[in-house]
Amino acid sequence: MEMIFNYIGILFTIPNLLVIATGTILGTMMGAMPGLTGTLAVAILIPTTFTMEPVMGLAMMGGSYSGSMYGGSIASILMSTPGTPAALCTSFEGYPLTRKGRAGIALKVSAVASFWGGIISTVVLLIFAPILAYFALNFGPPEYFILAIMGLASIVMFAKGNMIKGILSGFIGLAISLIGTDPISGSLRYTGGFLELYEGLDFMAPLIGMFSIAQMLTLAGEKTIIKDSGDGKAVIKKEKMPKGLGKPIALGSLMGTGIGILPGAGATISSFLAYQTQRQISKKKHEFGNGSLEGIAAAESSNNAVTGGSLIPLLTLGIPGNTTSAALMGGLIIQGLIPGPELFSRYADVTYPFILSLFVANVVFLLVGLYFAPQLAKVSLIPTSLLIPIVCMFSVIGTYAIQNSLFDVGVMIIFALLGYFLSKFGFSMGALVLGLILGPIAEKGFAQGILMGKGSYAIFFTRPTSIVLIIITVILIVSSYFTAPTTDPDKESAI
Amino acid sequence: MVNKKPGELALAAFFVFLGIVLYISAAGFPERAQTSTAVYVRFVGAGMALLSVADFFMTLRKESGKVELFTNKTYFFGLVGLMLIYMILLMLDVGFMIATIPFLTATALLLGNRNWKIMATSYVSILVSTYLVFFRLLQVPMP
Repeated sequence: MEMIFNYIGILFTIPNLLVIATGTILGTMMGAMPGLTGTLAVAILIPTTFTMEPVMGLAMMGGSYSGSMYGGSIASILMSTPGTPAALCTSFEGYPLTRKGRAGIALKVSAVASFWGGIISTVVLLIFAPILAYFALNFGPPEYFILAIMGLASIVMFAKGNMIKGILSGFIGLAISLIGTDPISGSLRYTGGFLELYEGLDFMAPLIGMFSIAQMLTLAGEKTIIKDSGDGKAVIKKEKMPKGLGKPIALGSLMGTGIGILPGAGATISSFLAYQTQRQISKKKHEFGNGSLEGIAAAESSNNAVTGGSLIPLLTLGIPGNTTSAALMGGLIIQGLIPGPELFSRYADVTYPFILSLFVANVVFLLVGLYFAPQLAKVSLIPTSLLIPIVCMFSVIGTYAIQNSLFDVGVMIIFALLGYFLSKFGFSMGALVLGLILGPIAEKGFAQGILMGKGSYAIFFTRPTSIVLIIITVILIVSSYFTAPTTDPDKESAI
Repeated sequence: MVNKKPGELALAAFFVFLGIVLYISAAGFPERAQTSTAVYVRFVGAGMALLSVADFFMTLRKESGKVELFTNKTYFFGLVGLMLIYMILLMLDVGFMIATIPFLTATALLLGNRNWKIMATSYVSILVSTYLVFFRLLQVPMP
């Protein structure tokens, strides 16, 4: 206990707190912009930390990581434009609320859920890091394949009134994800000779196209994002924080922390799984897809909980849980800290203040989120004739910034048209994007698993962790099928 | 409003074709990929083709619904056209500001905004703040 107070003493200096606040706010701004992910936020800040003390530098990067994860929800809720892929589920529920004039409460719930997700995962990181790291080591390629299948099981949820079309949408996403280099042989496939496709199709450009630009194409012709009320005037409703969100937040936080520990799994899978599980157990299933606060709470707490979870294998084993923590690992190494057990003994006076700084970062974005929610909600009242050009411009900047490539901007426009027309004919864009994101993880896990099993498929069904994951996947699929809402299959797909 | 059925059938047929092409193409993969990634690609191709066939026949059996493809054709094609012109201008290296100012103005005018004062104030302030925060401060690469 005395040590903890000692670490708090190291962290709680005015310069450190200012740096954490700056990192968190910059991270939130970056996360809110489509295309600019937490990875980019951390990577951009690394050079600025060269001259800082290790605690200060790491706290700044940790703050930007937490902030960017939260920031992703802002554009998702206000404009159906996921700032980060992990915020996709938030847009499924947040944007319908914005259309109803309830953006303020959606933003508040997102901030509170993100805060608790971050806090719970940081507590787990602080107390259980070394023990949980060994859990991650039990995950091999077969388990990753089944984990990806588990994520893909969410497709059944998106299928709505037309199960076949929903699953087909997921397969279209899987097919698109095949573009690029074969992970086993290294040969090129389906690149059409385009150099830009050799590394595969980065999913952010299609994601921004299908959700941001396609949404703008749909909005063109309407006065504001909010659908006019009876008297023709759009209004923003003022609401207090609803009760009963504790369970979805707890569920999302625990799932996010658990999945965050697994290297490569990431915030996108965790938010989808938490969102899907909450929908299964919710008493308000009918609200899902039409603006469910429970859905936002589960998804947001889950993707923010990944922050702490992903740091567990990074700090204890030197295995980054996702690309953002990989960038953070670069920052650690630059400060002369080699991830591993020594971080918790020899360099404890840097590691523990860094972990504690994540608590501060969560408080900062909570205050920012709650204070600015009413102001941000007013975005939904801006005339579309003014807003659409700005969203399109930011979409272009964000898409370009991913790989410094205008080719990606072209991809974004193509996918905007594809998404627009496919959704008109009942295809699910949520399922398609999920297939696109999880495709590479599934393919790599499958191919490496087969090689590990020397050509035998038994490896996927005989390992204890695989068996547990298969059972959970089957339960998810079956329960999703029987609880899927029966909506009009001819209705244009919202997600 | 147009009939939904012909479009749905055309899409299903296209995805059947795409699934078959994917399945067949896996045979051309290198030898060492034949037992791993080629199997996965065949699974994706076969799954896509079979689901599309099922979707095709289900669509054939049901009554045709109606779909409103565009809420406003002028806005839709105008916005897509302006986005393409914007991208081409950026590819021609005319500079971010020079390409963006006409894009923002033309799009706002297309969508019916005639309030020049608000347009000028909001677009200039957003462009300047974007340049200062993202480009100068955070050094985010701009097109």
